[in-house]
Amino acid sequence: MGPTSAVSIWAVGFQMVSPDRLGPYTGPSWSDLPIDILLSILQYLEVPQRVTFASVCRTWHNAAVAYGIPCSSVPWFMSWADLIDKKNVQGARTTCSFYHLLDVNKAYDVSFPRGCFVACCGASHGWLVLVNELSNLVLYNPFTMTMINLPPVTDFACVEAVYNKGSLEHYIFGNGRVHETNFLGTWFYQKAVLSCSPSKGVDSVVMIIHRDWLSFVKAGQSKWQVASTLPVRGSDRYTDCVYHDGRFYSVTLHGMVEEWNLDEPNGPTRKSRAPWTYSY
Amino acid sequence: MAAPESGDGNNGAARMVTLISSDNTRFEVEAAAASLSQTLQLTILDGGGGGGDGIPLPNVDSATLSKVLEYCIKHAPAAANGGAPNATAVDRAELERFDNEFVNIDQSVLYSLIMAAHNLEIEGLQSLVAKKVADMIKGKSPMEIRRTLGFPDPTPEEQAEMNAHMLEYGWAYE
Repeated sequence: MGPTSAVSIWAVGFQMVSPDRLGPYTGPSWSDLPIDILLSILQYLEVPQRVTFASVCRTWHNAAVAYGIPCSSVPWFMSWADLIDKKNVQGARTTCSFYHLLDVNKAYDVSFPRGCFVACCGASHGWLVLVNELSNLVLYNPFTMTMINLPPVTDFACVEAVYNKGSLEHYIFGNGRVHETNFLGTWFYQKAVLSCSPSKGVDSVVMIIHRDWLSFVKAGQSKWQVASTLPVRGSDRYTDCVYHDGRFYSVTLHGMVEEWNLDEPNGPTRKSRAPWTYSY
Repeated sequence: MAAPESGDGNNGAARMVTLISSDNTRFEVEAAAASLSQTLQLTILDGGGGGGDGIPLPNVDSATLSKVLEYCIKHAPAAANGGAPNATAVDRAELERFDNEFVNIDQSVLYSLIMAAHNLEIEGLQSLVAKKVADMIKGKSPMEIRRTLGFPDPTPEEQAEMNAHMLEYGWAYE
């Protein structure tokens, strides 16, 4: 079965990935070249060669990173169209096709752990925000294969889990409608965005749009915090959210733009912004 | 040292300086050639390296230094003309031929050369060797690069890191 201890893992915080643990080398050799020299070599290399360069050893890796190589988060396309056809195959490993901007004709198969990928509702900083088969959100880095569970869907007041003999049977949403555990998440979440990579040891925040709600969770917290709700029967709803320069921004169908400050001690605050409303 | 000759010393009265390698070999060379090294240039402008003194270079052995000076002597006239704007096409082609031939050497010599060029701040030489190394790298996998440049075999930990990085950027290796 899929991940079960979501809360505890999230509460521990982000401490996993350490991609930059570079070890010592013995003897003076090419691996000990001063960074100035490595940079002077790098200037004669094109991007794919620089990436190869970065794999040679730690010193070279650091130099290539300093010089500039595309990080895994930037130029990949992920296609999960095939996934929709295979959705009914229970327990199968999920494989998606990745394409790189520099060579879009070539597809790279990337496999995901069993049960973690029913839908995808966001990608930021190299991490995918996936919906797993329990309709919970997980952060997954397909390159380091690191998974971080976010607080479960039952954390939202409108979702209730129904157990039968100790095992999760289904969810009840809102007005009492029953939903299969692996299905609720396919429509429940619209969009998720991360403030920064959770592997960097800094406070990362995930903001999600789910139905008419806007919620977020900070690294180390075990619960979703609701930032805003729109009237359930109203005609407006959240359509998109982004993170830019220390702030989250959301936009609704009717064009209401809000800037969010999540660092206030008394909970999130917002500033309305409507750039296309002219005032005279 | 008031007003030394204009630097290129091309009338037979060229000022000479002595450089001493780490293994105590003395090299006498025109000041103009040695001055391709930014590091040496300062000492030479201060009047160093003349007479019996010599400038010790504890980081450069004699084999490397002779190679470095071969480059400097060849490039000094062009450098004295400020990157050779007046040079003929024939001169430039000859210099290019020399450069290509010059770096057509074993990787261990290239290593010593680029380190020496870095320490002595000889920009042209460092670029020349850097470009050669870049050309040697092109089209090779990380393991092939390691073999070409005589890296030791990777430790299991390094191998794991290389694998992880290659997986991350799989497109670069096919």
